[in-house]
Amino acid sequence: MKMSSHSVQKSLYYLGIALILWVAVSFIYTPIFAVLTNAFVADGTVSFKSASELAGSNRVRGAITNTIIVTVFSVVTVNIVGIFQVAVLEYLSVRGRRILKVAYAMPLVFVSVVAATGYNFTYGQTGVLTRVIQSFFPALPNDWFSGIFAVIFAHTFLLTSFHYLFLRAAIRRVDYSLVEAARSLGASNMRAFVSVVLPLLLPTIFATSLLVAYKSLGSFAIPAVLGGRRFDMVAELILTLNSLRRPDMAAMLSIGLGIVVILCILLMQRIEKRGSYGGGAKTPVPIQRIVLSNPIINLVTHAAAYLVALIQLLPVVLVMIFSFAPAKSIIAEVIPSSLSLTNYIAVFSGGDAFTPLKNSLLMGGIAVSLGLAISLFVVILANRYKNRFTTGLDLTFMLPWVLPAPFIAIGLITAFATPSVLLGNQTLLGSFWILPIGYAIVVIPLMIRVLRAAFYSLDPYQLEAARALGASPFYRFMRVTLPAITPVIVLVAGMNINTILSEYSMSAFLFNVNNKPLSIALFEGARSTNPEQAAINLVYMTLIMVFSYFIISVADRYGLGRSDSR
Amino acid sequence: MISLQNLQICYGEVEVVPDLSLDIEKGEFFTLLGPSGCGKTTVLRSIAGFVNAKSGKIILDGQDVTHQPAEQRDVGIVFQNYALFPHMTVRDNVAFGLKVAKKKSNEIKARVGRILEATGIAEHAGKKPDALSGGQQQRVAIARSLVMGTQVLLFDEPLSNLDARVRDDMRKEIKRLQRELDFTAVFVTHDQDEALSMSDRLLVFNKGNADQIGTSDDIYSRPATPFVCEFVGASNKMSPELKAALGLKNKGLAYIRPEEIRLSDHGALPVIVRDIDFLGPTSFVDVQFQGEILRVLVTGTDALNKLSVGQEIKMDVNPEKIQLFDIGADEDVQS
Repeated sequence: MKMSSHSVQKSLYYLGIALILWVAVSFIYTPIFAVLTNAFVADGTVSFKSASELAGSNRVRGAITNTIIVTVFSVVTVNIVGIFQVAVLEYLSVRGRRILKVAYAMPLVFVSVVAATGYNFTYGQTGVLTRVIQSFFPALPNDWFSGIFAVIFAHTFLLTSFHYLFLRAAIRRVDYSLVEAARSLGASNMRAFVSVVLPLLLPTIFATSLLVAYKSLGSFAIPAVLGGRRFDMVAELILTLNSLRRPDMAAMLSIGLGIVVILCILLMQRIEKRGSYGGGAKTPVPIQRIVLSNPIINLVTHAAAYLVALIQLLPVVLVMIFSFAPAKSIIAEVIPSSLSLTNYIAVFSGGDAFTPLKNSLLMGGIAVSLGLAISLFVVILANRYKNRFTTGLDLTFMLPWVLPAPFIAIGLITAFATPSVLLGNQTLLGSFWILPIGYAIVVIPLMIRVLRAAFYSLDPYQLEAARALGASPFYRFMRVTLPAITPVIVLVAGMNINTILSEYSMSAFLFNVNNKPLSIALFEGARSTNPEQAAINLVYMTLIMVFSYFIISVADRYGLGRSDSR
Repeated sequence: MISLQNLQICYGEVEVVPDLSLDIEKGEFFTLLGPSGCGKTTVLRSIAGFVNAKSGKIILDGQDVTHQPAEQRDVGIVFQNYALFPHMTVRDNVAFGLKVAKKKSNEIKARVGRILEATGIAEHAGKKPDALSGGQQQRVAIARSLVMGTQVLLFDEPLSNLDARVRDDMRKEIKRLQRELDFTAVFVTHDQDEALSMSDRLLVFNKGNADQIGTSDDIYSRPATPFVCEFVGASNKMSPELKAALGLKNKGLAYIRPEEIRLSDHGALPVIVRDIDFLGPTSFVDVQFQGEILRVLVTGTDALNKLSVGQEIKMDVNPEKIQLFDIGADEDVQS
């Protein structure tokens, strides 16, 4: 007997529910449970042994201290640079704003391990700038740019993307008539900025500060590449502990990191809920740039604006130019003597140089496909049936958003180091699949958020019109809903592949010989002294930046902003 | 009190106000009226000091302030959205200027208290602006400027975002405060009813030029230019046929207001009723005279009930109320 289409749909639906429950249990709850048991259970009883061992270790204390110092300094320095940039771009009359805007936008495309490697290429031991400075001051040590200074410096100029995105948007929402009102009451431009504009921006500044703190606390690639051998931060130390076969201590440390990160996020949500002052203007007066009448202040402002731009632009420009330079010239010259496509041909002609890119694209594709399938299912379900089950499912898949990557990674490693019943007695650790699964877990929360927003913004009358015209739920979904959200799906896929190409934290924990990704190849390349490897690295970095630029431009056009990559 | 002398304002290459001269008396309620983009807000902002004049002078209370920055002019401004500082309470908003001027705290307290009483918002002193109604916000905006001892208050279309009923109340409120607290008000609006009802005198702007300055009655009853006649109140531009039928020899433009046309069975000119806009106490009836549509104001509903679309009827035009201009009928009065 032939099954009706209705019963086919119904069976598919229950199959989907079963699959999604399996995914939730296997890849979210089991790893979390594994982290907790590793941290708190020893020999079958609750124990705080790993915690006390962590507390007793000088290296751990050092890493925690470093992480706190770096985070506190980064929040201060990033705010100084970020607020200054926003003032230059939106509030002050500064010449050459267009080029400054391009330079200040660099942290959007220059992220994670790509940025760390780029800074190393510019300022590091054999860096271009190091060689330039040494030609004037031969006494400059090779490793002048390393340790805590280098990490804070890199954070300062790489974590301004939140200011670029959110603080700029916030200052644009400030109604300029407030500044004029203040001036008509006798306040100078400076006084108007301090008394009126800045207080209105404070909630946003606070929120971006927390984002910077969140990023600094979990910072991995930057300290790994620029910190030097004697410098640890927490995320890197978790990896070290794990490789020293102390998963219990790694788990405990990742729980500590997780708690701090969750506190950051909770605080941020509180600020978001309190809302910000929009000024409430129905027809807000657009901000008019302030001309700095004092020539000295004006000169200093211009000089500082261009210096910051140079610092942010230089590594990007050098990486791009040298990606076309012969391998020999990369570690020897300041300006390449010749340019060619040789390095690009080496990458794209296949072979070893191509493997990491191929791996990352393949794993990115798999992770994004899995992530999209799960996210769509969860969002559709939550959209259609609002009950405890769907809310729970939604919250389950949003969980990885508040957990730092090392926490999830340690969870996957400890849960699946041995054959697991959940996976048909397979071992995940050491296999190709562990990394794409890790990536998928990380990208799902953003996908759910973006897709949920897309579903909310659908016109309900269109669906009601389709219903009134007799369309079935499935038909309505395929012909009305899906076409409307397809651009969002495509974009969110692009954004997440972009994130995965330069993802370092998860990769560092989960990669193996079967799946070595681009970010790990970049990291290894940065430490190698082989010029051929350096040349290939530069090609990779350029390709990732170009891809990021493309995705961000398209996303910006659709108003989706940037993916919150780890 | 305020004197503009040959004021010229440009935005880059574009000349927004070519040459404006104007005197506003102390305690006067003076309105700048005109369509959007005519330059009225620009003039207001130049008085406040937010827009620089290219040439000419701005004299406030006998002092040339043309080149003074806004913060030194002692001119209050009430913005379209009131521009109250959203992070401050009503009291802090009102005290802002006094704090900037570094007044002593007991003086600030006393002056703020007095103005809050005078503007009737003392009971809301501890609230933030978003907890106030539109009317209360407006009073805070006015109090904030007046507390500085400011004698001149500029209003930049403060009623344009409000619905009709609230707007009526606010008009009365502004007028009452202006009479009681005796400040000079310069009011910008594109709403002719607002301008006519509130102003002691008004200026009608046409592309940056003052077409006419006068009382509401001057402007409505004796418009100086065809533009003023068309912009302020409804007007019927008379066709050559209608002028001929009425025996007018004038070759320029001629207008008649809708209320100066009477419909009856015994009128002089035959017309056909083409449309009826029922508006309650007064209504508009469109009638056709030799291919030309004229708008007629009909008072009450009794007269209206006798009319139907397509009906033939007669009309009379009050010859004394015809507005005649020398300007040629082929010239575009809007330009």
